[in-house]
Amino acid sequence: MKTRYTSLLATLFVMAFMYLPIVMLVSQSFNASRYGGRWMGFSLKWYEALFRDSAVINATLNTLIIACVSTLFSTAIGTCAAWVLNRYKQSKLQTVHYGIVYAPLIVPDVLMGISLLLMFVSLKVQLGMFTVILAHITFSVSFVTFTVLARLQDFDFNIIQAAQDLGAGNLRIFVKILLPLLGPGIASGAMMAFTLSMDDFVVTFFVGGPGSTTLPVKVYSMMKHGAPAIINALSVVFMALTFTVAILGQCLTKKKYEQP
Amino acid sequence: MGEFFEFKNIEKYYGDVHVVKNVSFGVRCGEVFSLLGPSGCGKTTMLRIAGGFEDPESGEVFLDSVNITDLAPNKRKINTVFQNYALFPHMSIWDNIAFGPRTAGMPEDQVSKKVEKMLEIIRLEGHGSRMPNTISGGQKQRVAIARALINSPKLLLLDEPLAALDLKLRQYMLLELDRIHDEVGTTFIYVTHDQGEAMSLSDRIAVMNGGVIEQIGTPAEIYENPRTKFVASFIGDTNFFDGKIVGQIDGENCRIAMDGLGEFPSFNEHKLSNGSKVTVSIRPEKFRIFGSRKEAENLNAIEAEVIDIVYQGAQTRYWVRVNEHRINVLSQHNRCYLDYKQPTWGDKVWVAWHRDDVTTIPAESPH
Amino acid sequence: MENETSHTGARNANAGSKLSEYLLTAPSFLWLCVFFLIPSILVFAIAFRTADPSGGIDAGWTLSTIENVLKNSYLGVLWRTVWVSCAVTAICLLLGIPVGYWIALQKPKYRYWLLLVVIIPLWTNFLIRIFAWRVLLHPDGFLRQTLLALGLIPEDLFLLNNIGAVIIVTVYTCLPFAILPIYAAAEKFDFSLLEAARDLGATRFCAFRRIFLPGIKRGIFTATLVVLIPALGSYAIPDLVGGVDGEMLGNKIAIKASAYRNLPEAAALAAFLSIIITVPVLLFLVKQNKLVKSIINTRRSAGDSTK
Repeated sequence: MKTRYTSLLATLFVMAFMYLPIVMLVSQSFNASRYGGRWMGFSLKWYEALFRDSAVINATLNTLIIACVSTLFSTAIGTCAAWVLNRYKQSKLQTVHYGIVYAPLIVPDVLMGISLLLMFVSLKVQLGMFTVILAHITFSVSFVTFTVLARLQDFDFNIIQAAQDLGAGNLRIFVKILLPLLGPGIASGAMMAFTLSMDDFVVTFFVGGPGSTTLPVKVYSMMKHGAPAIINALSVVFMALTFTVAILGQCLTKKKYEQP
Repeated sequence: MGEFFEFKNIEKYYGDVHVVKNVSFGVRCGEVFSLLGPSGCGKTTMLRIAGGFEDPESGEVFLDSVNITDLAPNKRKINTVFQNYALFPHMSIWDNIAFGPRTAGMPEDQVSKKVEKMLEIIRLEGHGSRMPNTISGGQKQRVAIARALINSPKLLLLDEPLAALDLKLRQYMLLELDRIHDEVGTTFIYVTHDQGEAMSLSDRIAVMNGGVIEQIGTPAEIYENPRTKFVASFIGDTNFFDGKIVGQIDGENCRIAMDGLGEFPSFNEHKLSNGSKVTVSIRPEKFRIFGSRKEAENLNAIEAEVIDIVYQGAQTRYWVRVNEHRINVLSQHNRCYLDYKQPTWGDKVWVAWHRDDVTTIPAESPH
Repeated sequence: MENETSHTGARNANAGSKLSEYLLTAPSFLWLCVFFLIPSILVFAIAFRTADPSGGIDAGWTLSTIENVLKNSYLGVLWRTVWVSCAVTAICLLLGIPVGYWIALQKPKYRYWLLLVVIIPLWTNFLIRIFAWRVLLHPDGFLRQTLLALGLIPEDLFLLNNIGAVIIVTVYTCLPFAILPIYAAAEKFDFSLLEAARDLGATRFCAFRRIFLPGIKRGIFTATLVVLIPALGSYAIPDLVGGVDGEMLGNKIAIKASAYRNLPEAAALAAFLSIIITVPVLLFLVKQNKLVKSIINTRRSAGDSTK
């Protein structure tokens, strides 16, 4: 095949476009200059300032708590959903079920945020950590379901019959067969939920209240009201955090590639 | 000058792999020319160079005395029938066939006439509205041919066109291809790894191996008179014996000492002198089996032991042992097999052959 | 044998499994009904409620909110939301198609890594990506200073806080989502079809347009949907890089909901946004039906012409 210069050029342009801002940001976080821009020498002072800021530490804790709790619930709910969607494909109920699980994927965050806010206000629910967790579970469930469902689709159900044939009981089948085989799929669904929760700003912004400030919300308010130099450092720390989770998730998927 | 389509000193590398090594040959106007060889021999690369999909590292390609080496595929009066047909899945049969003329800007009423004509040639009248994924493999094959031929190419390239079809269909399509060729008279270059296809369809065959042309000739020449050991073994079955020329009988014939068999008179095609080492190739069907030396009359003959018999209906294949050699012998049943006493396992028989049925391949031949 | 066992297995399963199906469907089904379906419908209802001065929702019913929204100068914002989203989608397709095409042409062992390179920017937090662009587009930032030094832009051109910045940053955040479905379709595309088209006399561009683009149609539809809808509902990007002239419908909703605490008006705007979004979704669904129909139609018409 002869080389395609037009598409190669477009690809190079896109790659430069995708990475330029990130590279700039990381380099700025080590810049001693207060307002960025001109390079004033290497410095870690913004990182020091960051780790002394108790509000940031607090927001980080909130983010992790919300992500952990919502991941736990959305993974459990989503795995059940994926299982029935795959097991009872022909059932009418599952067609409706599929639709309702699919819909949140195409609704923009703003709409999900405002509609949940309106419901919480109507029901006079106090906004805070609790409402944020409920909202995060809601948007994570669909992603978990489809991630697990994708794995279930290439799962050979004959091995369950094989296990029954060999005399295994239901619990034994679940522990010895299903969990090890579906584990990676469920884990990557959970990773997905965790990153989504950590990443979310818009929905949290709408349904959050006093005491539920997460890292993205903190970044937003810092961006709106000064302190730009600390955000550089905060961004890099945050990036490192997300990267760790994402690489972990990637490793789980990678394993699946190498197995066969 | 002279040849209608010509490759001159083509060289091609894929990375470090030298896939085509200084290949030159010509194709005559109107013939079916086959490129035959095992997979990876460079035959498909030659076809892609002819079509303009690969650039040769060096060398030139001529069509009708015009150098087309640097011409883009869409500028060549050459069309290709791809191995997997490559029919456009989102277009009907009709639109697939009309693609070339429409692209060339032909008015729609003319396009329509030409497509009708092509559908008639491939005997798929009335199927124009079908989509490619709703027709059978053989029909797809014919559509691919029509789509190429509608552009009235000077040269049609066919890349393993029957490889994806089952045996019955392959035999039928072979006849169809022959008929279509007779009908349109376009020059065909046909790439295949199947010697049967090449033999039954081609006017001439080029046998390719390891990036070089081993031999070019008519099917009969290739089969009856292979130039190299590879050609002899790739096309049909054969028995090889190492040997040495030990004496001359007259201008035509010589005596060859074959290892493990003894000395026999043989046709000396290459006029080799005494002492030359040769590989002797004798095809299984050239051997005959007799119960005694007397019956073999004036043929070359040697005593052997029958070690295996495979009855195949039209013929029987015997494996006989002479010293360390296992010789493959094919015997046609010209008379009813059951009416005569046939050799059986462990029998001592005489295996005989005519001196003219021996092919000698000089040991110092280029490959 | 095999059939028999699976049949009896299915029958056994059927007897006791209705209950287990309901039990396992219940968590996700009920959860999404309560926290997704009902709130989505609630938005339309609350648009007709009166606002309570303390920032809540009053018990009364009114049409004035809707009238207000229609009378107010929201039409400009509405129009901007639509055209900016369409521009973003167009740019994403324009960039995404060649990239997807190019990656699909590479050797399989490189594709995985190239795809990863496309995905990695997504691992950075959404807000941080926006912030990175603020740094880059800042009047004293790298991009403007470089362009000024090269004499490519006039002195008085600012890159931040305008509609251009909104488009650039939205393209930036959406582009990977456009590339992925296009690549997925291109990877399944049979590239020998392009050779066949070239062989039949088509130029490179013609083969690309007439064979490749129809071949990855599904990927293009999906890419359009996954870019257009979030773009229509975007809030953070116009808020942070758009300035006054870059506001979109999402901003108005957020402002009404937070700063002004006028929830019925926010609900009315959200209802409008929902309606706008159903347009591309319906088009997409209809288009898929149309595809099937158009195939049937061409078959019928062509069949008539040959008979």
